Amino acid sequence: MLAITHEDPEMEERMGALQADLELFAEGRAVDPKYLFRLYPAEDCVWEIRSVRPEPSIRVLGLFADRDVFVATNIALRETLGGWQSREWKNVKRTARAVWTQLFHTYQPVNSGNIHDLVTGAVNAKYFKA
Amino acid sequence: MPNTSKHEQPSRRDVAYYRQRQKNRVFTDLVAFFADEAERTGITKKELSDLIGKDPAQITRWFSAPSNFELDTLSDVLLALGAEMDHRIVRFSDRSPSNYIHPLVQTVSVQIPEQIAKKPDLNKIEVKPALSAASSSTASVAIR
Repeated sequence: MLAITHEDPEMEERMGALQADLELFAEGRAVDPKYLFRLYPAEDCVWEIRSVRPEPSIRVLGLFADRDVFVATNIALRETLGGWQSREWKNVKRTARAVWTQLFHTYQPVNSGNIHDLVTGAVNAKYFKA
Repeated sequence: MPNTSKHEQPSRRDVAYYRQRQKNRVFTDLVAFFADEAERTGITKKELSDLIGKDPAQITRWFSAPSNFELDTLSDVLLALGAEMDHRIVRFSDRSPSNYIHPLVQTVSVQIPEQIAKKPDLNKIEVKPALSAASSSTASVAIR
């Protein structure tokens, strides 16, 4: 999605903003749960990076291969996902796992409830639903 | 009127990218500085709002997500915290390449431009940030 040029100029602008938001992670800036959040269920190890503004709000799903190594697997518009237990959410989470397995086979993503095991310099906060 | 500038007109994507990047950087620096000050001096958002004569809810909004801060607002907030922001303009051509590829990436099937893939030391490879969102068959790796 970021790699191609979109005909829609608004989509081009949105991709520019998304790229800047993703760079926050790559630059090592402090992240918080408004930016990075672990999706339910925890054992799937799927996380989302939230790029909220400008609309439409975008979610980049992925898993951690190692500390500070986030593998972005797929992307979704938040408005298409519905509530957190919706079928659409399940589908995008399943896609994330499928892409991971396709890439890494039996290599497992990092599974930890401690954000500091995953991201250096993360703000102390709650990064998942109870 | 013909464009006689040596500079090319930036693309819409680049314009949006650098605008957002600027907002994100100012926001993260400001939030991190306030967090440090809160820990160091115990200042609260309520006290900050009193100092600059704004509603506490406004402070919460400013600190909740990157936004188009007015320079005056930024100055007022930082002044209340006993600080100011230094500015430095950097030519893209003067920027030192800072990204590198984590050794783990060697095991990941990501697309790496040929010219850099040939470099022997993967820790010193300079790449554009790996940010491309993935299709169902490719993934991108972002490393801090």
